[in-house]
Amino acid sequence: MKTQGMIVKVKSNSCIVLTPEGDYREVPLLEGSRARVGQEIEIPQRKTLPYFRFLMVAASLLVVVVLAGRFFPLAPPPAAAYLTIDINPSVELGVTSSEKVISARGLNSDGEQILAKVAVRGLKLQDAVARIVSQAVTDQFLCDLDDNIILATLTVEEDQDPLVELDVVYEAIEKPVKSGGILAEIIIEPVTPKMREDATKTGLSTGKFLVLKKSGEKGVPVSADELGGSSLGNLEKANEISIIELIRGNGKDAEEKNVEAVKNAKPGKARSGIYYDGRKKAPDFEIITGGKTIKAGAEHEQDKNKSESPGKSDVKRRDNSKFVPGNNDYFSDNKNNNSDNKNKDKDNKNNNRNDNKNKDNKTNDSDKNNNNKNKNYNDRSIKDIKNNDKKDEKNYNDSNYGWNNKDKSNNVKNNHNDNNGDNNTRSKWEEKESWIRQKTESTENETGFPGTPLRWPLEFRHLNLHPSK
Amino acid sequence: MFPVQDLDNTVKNIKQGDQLAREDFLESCKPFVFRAACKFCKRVLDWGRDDELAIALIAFNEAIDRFREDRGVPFLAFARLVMISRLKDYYRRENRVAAAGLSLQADSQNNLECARSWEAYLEEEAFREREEEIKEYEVLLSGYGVSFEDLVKCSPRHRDTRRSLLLAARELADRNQLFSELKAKKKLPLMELEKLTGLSRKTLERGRKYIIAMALLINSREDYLYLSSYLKLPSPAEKGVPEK
Repeated sequence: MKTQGMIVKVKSNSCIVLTPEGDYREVPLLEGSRARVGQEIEIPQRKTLPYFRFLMVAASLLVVVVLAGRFFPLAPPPAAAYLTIDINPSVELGVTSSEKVISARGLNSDGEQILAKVAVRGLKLQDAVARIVSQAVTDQFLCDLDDNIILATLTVEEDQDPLVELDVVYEAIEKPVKSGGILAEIIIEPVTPKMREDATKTGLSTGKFLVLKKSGEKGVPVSADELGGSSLGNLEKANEISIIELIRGNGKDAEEKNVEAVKNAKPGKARSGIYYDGRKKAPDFEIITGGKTIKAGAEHEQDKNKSESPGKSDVKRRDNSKFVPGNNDYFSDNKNNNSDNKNKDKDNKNNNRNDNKNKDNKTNDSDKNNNNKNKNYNDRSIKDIKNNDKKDEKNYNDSNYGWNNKDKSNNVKNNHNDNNGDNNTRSKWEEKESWIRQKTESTENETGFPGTPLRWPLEFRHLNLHPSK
Repeated sequence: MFPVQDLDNTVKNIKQGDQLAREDFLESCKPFVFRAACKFCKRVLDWGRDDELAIALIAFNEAIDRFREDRGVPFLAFARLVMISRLKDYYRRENRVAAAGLSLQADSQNNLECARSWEAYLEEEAFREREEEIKEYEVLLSGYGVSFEDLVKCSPRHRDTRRSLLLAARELADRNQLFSELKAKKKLPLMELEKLTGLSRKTLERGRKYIIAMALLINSREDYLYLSSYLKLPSPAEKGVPEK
């Protein structure tokens, strides 16, 4: 609708018009058009929205706010789950739904100490866990003489899948422990958020609170002070209880639960934890993962069948040494030979890993002649020297050897090098890492097996020596 | 007096040959003719004694015939222009007669060229008048502290609000007592208006300047012929136009 208007006043670049309807309006004048008072003009229709300017201001403010919120998040997203780790340092990590660690707090002085050394905020959960555990290993919170218990809890909402797969957490803990050559019991238990709240009230970590609660149910007297102060390993010793048993809710109930869990594989997933006793039950340990029970014992039997005369020492060693789940290199040769029989009890995952490792055995050698890794080799060479006498035994064992993914020939080469030249480096190194050697030697004596698993120096973790990477 | 509005229809009817209507219309417009003539001659005239009034009335009649809507000039303004030009012609002739004793034969009505220039003159004159009128109106408004800018800001956007405010202004303009009060105090008699129109005080308060401006315009609509005839004032249905 076009309206006419009579100009009643002319201004510099607009004019005021009076419409027949009695409306006074200010209309912008076109450049060059001569306007006279009294002239009748057509009022151009409004092209812009009414209050367009205000809308623009509002919109731009909105944009600014939104962008600011995006780039400078004022409030971090709330943690979707909490993961606590009790080694003795107790640490709690808040995890977002995207598996990022957003908060970390030490629940005791050791925990704070560890967190001061490693920055975990913003990392993926498994990286953060791996860092903390490896820091605990370097700080000797975990050393293989102690009764090491790593108790992790992850809050899981009722009737929901855990935010982070327990397997993943397990692997993150297990990896540094294993590469540190340390025997440890690893317990990962899903708990309800309510449990965590209760634990926070008492001032304990969720894991320790869980132990407290379970022990209360069991009638084992454990005081809160006791829990808070000492590591779980000491506690176990002092009270002669098994924490794994405790948490699993030992006895018939637990077994029934397990049976049930096996029956309905998936639904059991959310509630069952991972319990792995690395110290005592090596031959017969069970991993309960998502209701699957993996029996390592079966494999041992088959091993025995396969390797006859050298197998004796093999079995012996295996029984005593650290069998770590997932580290199935141990059996790799055997398995490849008669895989039909053995794989039925095994995860696909583990199989894959085996394959990878075997591949690595072949391919990695060239990489490893790097100078940077001399230390690494030194470590091995010490063992090799000791093993020289029993070389024939070693020849077939070496490739089975869980911690050494290298060829025998390679080892020998390095061995020679060390013998010829680098006595200085070695002595240095010996000073530095003497305690490790002491330990390894001591275990050697106990077991009678020379090649006790070696510790990878932690500095080289980033080199991805682990074949699963 | 006669309504400023809706004259165009009447004039159209008269042009179509309604003699009776013409008589009535002329009769009703006599006061207007009288006022316009008096203003031009700058003295009080008398029906039946002064030639000027007769000439003005004849010119008015002529204006009915010559009026064209498409010119954009309201009828009364046009008629006034015609009357004034005829009166000017009359005076010129009088002077000539008095001075030279000659009568000017070449009357503009018969000459096409003269007629055309006369049209142009009328148009120009109308424009000038309109401009003057608006300026006059602005001065009048400024006496009440109202400017066109204010009116732009406070003129109601909504059609219904505008209509009700215009009716209130008309009410105010037609009540002499109220209007004189406005003139004296230069502010709206809000209480009375509230009672008369039934509008809320808030609405009246908000449209205060608009009501003042419109009331002034409506009240002196004969002086602001162009503006007032340009406006399409809403006519209250129940009310006839009050005669003065």
